[in-house]
Amino acid sequence: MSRARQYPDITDILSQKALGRRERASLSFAEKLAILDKLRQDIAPIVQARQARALKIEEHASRALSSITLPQR
Amino acid sequence: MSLEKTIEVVTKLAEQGAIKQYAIIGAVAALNYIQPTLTEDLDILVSMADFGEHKGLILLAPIESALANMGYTERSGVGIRVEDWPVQFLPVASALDEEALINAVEVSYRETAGPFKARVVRPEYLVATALKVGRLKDLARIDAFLDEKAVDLTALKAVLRRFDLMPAWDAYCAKAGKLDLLGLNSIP
Repeated sequence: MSRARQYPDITDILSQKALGRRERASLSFAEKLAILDKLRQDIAPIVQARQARALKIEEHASRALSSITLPQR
Repeated sequence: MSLEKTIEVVTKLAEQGAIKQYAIIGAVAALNYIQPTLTEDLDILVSMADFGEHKGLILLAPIESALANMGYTERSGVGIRVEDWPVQFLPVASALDEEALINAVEVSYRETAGPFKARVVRPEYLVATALKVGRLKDLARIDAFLDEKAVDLTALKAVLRRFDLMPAWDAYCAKAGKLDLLGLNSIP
């Protein structure tokens, strides 16, 4: 027999998150631009890694393509 | 290297007459009204008069050469790199874009060296454009505008009606499970 599992009430967490969203939304345009600069800076290593991965895949694909020999007529 | 400086360069292009009419659109425009979300470029809506045309192709040449004169020549995947931010100049491509450009608002900003003004597309046009484009991230943006009460629903409805976007709105409501709970359909 399984007992109904008890889950914590996260209403407070969700309302805090909503409050955070409202606070960030009420910042000035300049403050938000600065946040965007910071966000972009923070994810730069991830973007670079993604680009490097895409480049590697592309190189691999073009090497594979060039190694295919078409049958002579 | 900051977005503030990038926008400053765009406004300089307008002051110099290299751009006749412009407005910030997309994620950067949205952040004027809602909480900031990550974006990798700055989208600038520009009037068609700012583009050259050659055999039916729209050319960026006039803006590109003005930027080159200011020292910005590096192209990035989605545009021209200005102060380390890729800037994409988008020509007005619909009647909705045209009205959004005309009705853009001037936003004063700048933290340090005195006030500075940039033209930003109004929220109802940002929501309508997001609805028209309809990618998941656009729908999420609409959600943010609604949740944060950052768009005037009466103004939005007028725009949606004018540009035949009510079916798209209904589809969005159904997809988002809102079933027009916001009462947009009941606004006269």
